[in-house]
Amino acid sequence: MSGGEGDLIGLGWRPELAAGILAHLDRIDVVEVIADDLFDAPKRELRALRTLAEQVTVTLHGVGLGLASSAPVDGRRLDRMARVVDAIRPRSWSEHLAFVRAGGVEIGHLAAPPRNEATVHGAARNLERARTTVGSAPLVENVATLIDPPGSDRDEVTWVAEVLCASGADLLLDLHNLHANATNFRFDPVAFLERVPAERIAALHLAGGKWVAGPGGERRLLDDHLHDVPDPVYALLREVGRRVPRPLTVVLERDGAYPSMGELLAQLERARATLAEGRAA
Amino acid sequence: MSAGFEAFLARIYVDAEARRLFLADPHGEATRAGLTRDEAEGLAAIDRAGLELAARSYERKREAKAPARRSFWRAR
Repeated sequence: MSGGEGDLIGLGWRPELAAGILAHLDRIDVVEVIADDLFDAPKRELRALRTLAEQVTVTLHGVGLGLASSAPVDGRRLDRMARVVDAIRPRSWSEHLAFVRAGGVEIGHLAAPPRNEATVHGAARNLERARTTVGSAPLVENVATLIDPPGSDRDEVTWVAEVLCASGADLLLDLHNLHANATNFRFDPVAFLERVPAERIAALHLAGGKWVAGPGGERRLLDDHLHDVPDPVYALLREVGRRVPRPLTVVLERDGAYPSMGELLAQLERARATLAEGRAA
Repeated sequence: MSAGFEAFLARIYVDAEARRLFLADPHGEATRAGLTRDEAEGLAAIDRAGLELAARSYERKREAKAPARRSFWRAR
């Protein structure tokens, strides 16, 4: 079954999944590779990945640029991204709308930025610098957050839409991040889809997560990439298929607690079928 | 928003002692860090449960990161 004309359904490359992915390229349309893992890669490894890119569509995904900040992006990191993009020549590359360091402190993960005018303009400046350095603009991904970002004066969808408008970048919409934020901060994820410009959605991420409890017993949904894609995320995928006319690249992210390759392929087939349902609705 | 606001957030996300001092006196710590009155007032209303959960999540991510470069083809 096809998701739709031009839709690509695939998997995030992880070394633990390499053998299974290579053995099933007939059922995997696209492979998303973590770009930061390649920053120090020897040339022979980049050549090998280039060879893989001749057999299957490859996209690159950054995790460490920290573009959504009022501070300038680190030029050395952009140079390394440019080297990898030049070597692999992926279909597209992407990075998160997050800040990951400030004032010399490395947070170690993707923190949701304060949603205000300063970070809208900071992200737009950083995205322009990324486009100039790398030679193409990244798709930008919405991030999950366990904390309602301090310093915010607007809601998430308003902020994301403003960044898209100010930068010209397209959106990699992570549906589990959307589901987790909607659950944790009590908003309607479909209303988010109604307000984000549908024509700017170019790619999707699917993943799973788990509940975690805070010190006061309050539970929140953590996006951990260690669990199967839950039903509400498939429901959002169907909704996106109904709303977004352009071909989409859909990637399932799994970072550990790996199920069998058969189970992962079954999740890809469910995603393909669900997107097709949305397209047909 | 001042340039120091994100730096202040990064510090309380990462440094447990800075976070403890902040939660004991949010407005005072923010003011002593040179943040504006509006920023300090905003931080006084911080999502406390979210701060603890996010800090814990970031700490686990930092701990999980291996010092050696991750091989592209083979799991460690």
